[in-house]
Amino acid sequence: MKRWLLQSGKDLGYVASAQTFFEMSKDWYAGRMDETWERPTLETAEAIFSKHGLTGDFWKLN
Amino acid sequence: MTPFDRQVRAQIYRLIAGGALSVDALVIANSRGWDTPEVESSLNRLANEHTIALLENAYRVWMAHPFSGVETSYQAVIGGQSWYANCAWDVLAILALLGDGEARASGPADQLVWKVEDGQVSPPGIVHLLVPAKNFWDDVGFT
Repeated sequence: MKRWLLQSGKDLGYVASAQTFFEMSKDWYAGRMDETWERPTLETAEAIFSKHGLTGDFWKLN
Repeated sequence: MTPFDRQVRAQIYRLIAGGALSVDALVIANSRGWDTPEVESSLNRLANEHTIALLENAYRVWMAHPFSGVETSYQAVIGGQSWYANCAWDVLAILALLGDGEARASGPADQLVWKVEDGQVSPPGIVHLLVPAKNFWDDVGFT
């Protein structure tokens, strides 16, 4: 992955397992299709990321 | 969001999750007996709030995350139904929302298929995001 990114000139970005993104999605998209859904606050959103090990500057929203 | 915007947003999801592609203001309005110009105004507000994304110069839904309103290289499949997603994260998210199935990603040379069953993704794999979270909506199409 790193070799491909460096060869293509892209930034490294962030890499995590598909399992992590699947599990995080359950929290991230919970209630999304409901009429009562509210956009999470920045703090809540960062807490969701952090709960699933998605931390560091890449995942900061403030 | 206004109460009507909430109804429009939820109806978009109902339509797409129900299998509709090409969801636009007319389709949304007709599905509920609403006034089309009012739906168009609502779509603009929802897009401005980054709740959905619209195709440029159109009142057609491009993205209602995790769903894509247009064909993409990412498809979630459950039984005989399928939905387009915006990216690898979103194709997994559709299965997280709707149930066990397959997350498919097609490239120029090959296709990746993840199966999701009982909360487990197989085979093991990775997802790469290029754009930091705080910039997701700077150019949501690129993201």
